[in-house]
Amino acid sequence: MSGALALPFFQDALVAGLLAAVACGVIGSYVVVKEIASISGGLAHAAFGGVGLGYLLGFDPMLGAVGFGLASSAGIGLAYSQHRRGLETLISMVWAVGMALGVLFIAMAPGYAPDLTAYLFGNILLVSPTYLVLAGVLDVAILASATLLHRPLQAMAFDEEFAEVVGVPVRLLLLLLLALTALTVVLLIRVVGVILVIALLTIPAAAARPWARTLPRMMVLATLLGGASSVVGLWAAWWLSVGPGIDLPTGPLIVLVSALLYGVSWAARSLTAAGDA
Amino acid sequence: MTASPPAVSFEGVWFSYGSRPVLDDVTFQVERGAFLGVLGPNGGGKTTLLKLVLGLLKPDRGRVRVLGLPPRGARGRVGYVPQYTRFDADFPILVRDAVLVARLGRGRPWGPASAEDREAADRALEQVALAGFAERPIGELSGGELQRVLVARALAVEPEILLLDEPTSSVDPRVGRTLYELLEQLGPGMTRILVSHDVGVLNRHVDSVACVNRSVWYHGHGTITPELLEEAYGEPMDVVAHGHRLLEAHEDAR
Repeated sequence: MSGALALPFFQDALVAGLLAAVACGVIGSYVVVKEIASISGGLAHAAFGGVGLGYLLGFDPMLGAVGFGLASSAGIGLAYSQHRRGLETLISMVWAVGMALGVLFIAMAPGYAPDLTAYLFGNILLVSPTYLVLAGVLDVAILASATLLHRPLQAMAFDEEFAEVVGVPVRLLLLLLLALTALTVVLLIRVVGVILVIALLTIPAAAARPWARTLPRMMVLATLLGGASSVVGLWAAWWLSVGPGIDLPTGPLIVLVSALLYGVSWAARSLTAAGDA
Repeated sequence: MTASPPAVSFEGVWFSYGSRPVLDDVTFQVERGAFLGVLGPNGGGKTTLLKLVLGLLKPDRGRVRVLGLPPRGARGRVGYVPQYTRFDADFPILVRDAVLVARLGRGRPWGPASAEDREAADRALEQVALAGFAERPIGELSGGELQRVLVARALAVEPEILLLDEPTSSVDPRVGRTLYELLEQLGPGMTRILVSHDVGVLNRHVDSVACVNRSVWYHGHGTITPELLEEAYGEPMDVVAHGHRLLEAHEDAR
């Protein structure tokens, strides 16, 4: 690994992975306890529509992803409060329509068709210094929201109905949470791609959950597990590349490492539970 | 006190989920300090009735008033114990923090809870005999203990009206008995509305009964008779008497 650490692009990738892990750990914990994983999946795929629009009209595709992600989060957030029954259907539509728009926009774009693999499966080795700054800013915004609004956000996640009854503005908080989720999802597109975003948002948090007595502890542990997944996944990609000469994409490797950590967490939990009994 | 409005009043209230009618032209009122038992078949509209009082649902027609105000205006003065089965019992939250949610309606929402709020939460936990449980995560509690946490959370609102939706449906009878004794002690300073299938318990503790089955039949006395049950459930009930005031209705007799 020491050899890889000397390479600037590897350093940037490492920093990007760790910054993404913070967003994943905090927002992913909300996603898991509030059971909105399908919403975050929908937001990721909706964001792809924005990527396509960026190519078509010639602006930064990630900017398009942010726009589409935020707009979809607002739409789903409003529907969430009012039409609970049709929500799953709506999410599926946003999910598929986002992808369809993205593919169509890119087909209509002039010039060479861009390589979409980096958007679909991520390529953390391509991150720019600007990306690192934006990821840092998003982390600060997420940490500030989670710290300042910890009690109302936790109340909404734990029991939305009761929170509403005592006068907590649950709709506003939900819109905030979904907007932060959309931004996290866009951030993660660079790391693991549209299709795998949902994994990095849920797996580290799910692995952390059985070991955490409180939501903040779950967030810290999920961040550590997400960070470990990024580092190990990146290192594995580098090692396979310089060793046996196998070039593998980083996104799927990071996701598989996190799934492995989840398996370890689950097995350890089963063993300690058996020991308690 | 003569001019003070009733705790809860329904005036010609209609409610339906889509095309499925749930409540038809419901009119009744609950006086302050009453301990009302709400009885009726599953799907008969009991929970809907509570949600209308809480302002979580809006009537299609008619008017609901809580302490003389529209339901949303009475928020922060009403405590609510939801059905326990709706719960994620593994949510990573400490007992005290779960109870402190009750205090979020007042004071500042950011930063840690105030000392005053923490005292109110601890007081409520004492009332349900869970004083030593404040620092435990709810995932470590038994079903009965978690149920009491939900009651403590409603009490920490320091409500004028307390609504309970089948609070003993999944706990053992001893826990249920303690809860009903607590509810009796809380009155008459607090209006209590209790949804329950347990006719025997209602008979022993409440001072008025409402039967809900699309309509509401309100009875200003606490004795449940076979006739009253037939009225509520729409057909004669299989009623077995155990002692002088105790009746037991079989739920599946709908």
